[in-house]
Amino acid sequence: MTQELIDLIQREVDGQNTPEDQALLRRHCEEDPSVKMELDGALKVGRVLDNIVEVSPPADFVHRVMDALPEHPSWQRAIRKAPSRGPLFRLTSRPVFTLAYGLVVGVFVTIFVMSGIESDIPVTDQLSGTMASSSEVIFSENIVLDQGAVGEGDTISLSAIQIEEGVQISADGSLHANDVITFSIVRDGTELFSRSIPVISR
Amino acid sequence: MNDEHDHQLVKRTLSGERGAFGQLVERYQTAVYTVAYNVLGNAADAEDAAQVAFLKAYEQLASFNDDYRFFSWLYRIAVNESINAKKKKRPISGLDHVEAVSDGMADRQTEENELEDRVGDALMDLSPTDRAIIILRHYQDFSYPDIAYILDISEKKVKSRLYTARQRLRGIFEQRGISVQA
Repeated sequence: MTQELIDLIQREVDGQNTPEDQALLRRHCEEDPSVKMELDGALKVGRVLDNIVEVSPPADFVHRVMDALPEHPSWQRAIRKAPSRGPLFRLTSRPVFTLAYGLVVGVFVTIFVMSGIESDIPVTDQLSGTMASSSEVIFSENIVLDQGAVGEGDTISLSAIQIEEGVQISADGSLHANDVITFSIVRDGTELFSRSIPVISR
Repeated sequence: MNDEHDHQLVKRTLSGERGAFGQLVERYQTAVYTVAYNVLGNAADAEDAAQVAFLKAYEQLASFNDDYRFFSWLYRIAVNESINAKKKKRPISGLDHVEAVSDGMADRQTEENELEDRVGDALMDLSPTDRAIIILRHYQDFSYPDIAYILDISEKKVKSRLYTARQRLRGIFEQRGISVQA
């Protein structure tokens, strides 16, 4: 069976064939019983799949989502902080990251930490690490956010979070200057949170 | 209820009106939960994934491009979250069978429920991504370009994976005696 014929059958199942396409498919069916058989089978599968059931979440789902929303999402913090911070991404006095193969991407994880907390909550230790590959950051020291800090995030809202040595941040996507990457912190196979931030070159 | 209204709710949320986001959650909770449930196969994981999807959507709302439909964007987050959650979990053999949304028919036919359950179980034999493609196409009626956007794959790949998934399901349906009246 040709790809053109397969596409015709698939589009027929999806109700996307034009009248001309349908006429063409009918002709194929008349000329070749195996095409008719294939079409009937595909249509039958389509009808069965129309029985995919819609399921409802728990009655309190909306409340649970709303209760879990961060008080100040990152876009609010960015708007609030931008005037006072000056350059949004400032280098710390410590060496931050080096990217393998010579590409330095700057302080993006520091950014992530800095933007992940309220401006009035200090970071007691700066994040420092080495970009071990294009997809992995290995931390060389501990990072501790003060009691009361809100872990950046999507899925957690902790009174404190300590990221211990050896915890890895994985970046999804290739790293180039001005790219936006998404990375997540995973511990013991469980994603603690993830975040999208721009990669800054210097 | 349309895309424009969704975009207004997004703008109101970004201007600080949390309740506007609540309206979006209210509107799309069943759709998001359904896709999570069908990808993950059980209610507890589906709840978690759906909740995380909405929280991520909220956190990333400023990056939403209103050239797209909010629903497609939200689905993109929800499907990816569900697929990623599935990859972290051990495989299971079939769907938990939860109560379907009431359609107002108290005496819904048992045969229909059984068919839904069996279709759900058959879906679990597909990969999470192929399962998502089937759900997006047959449950949500998304177009090929929409599915391509949601899954971040080419339209050509959507077509080929949809074809492969349907062929596989056809074999499973025949093997398990699942059929419907023409």
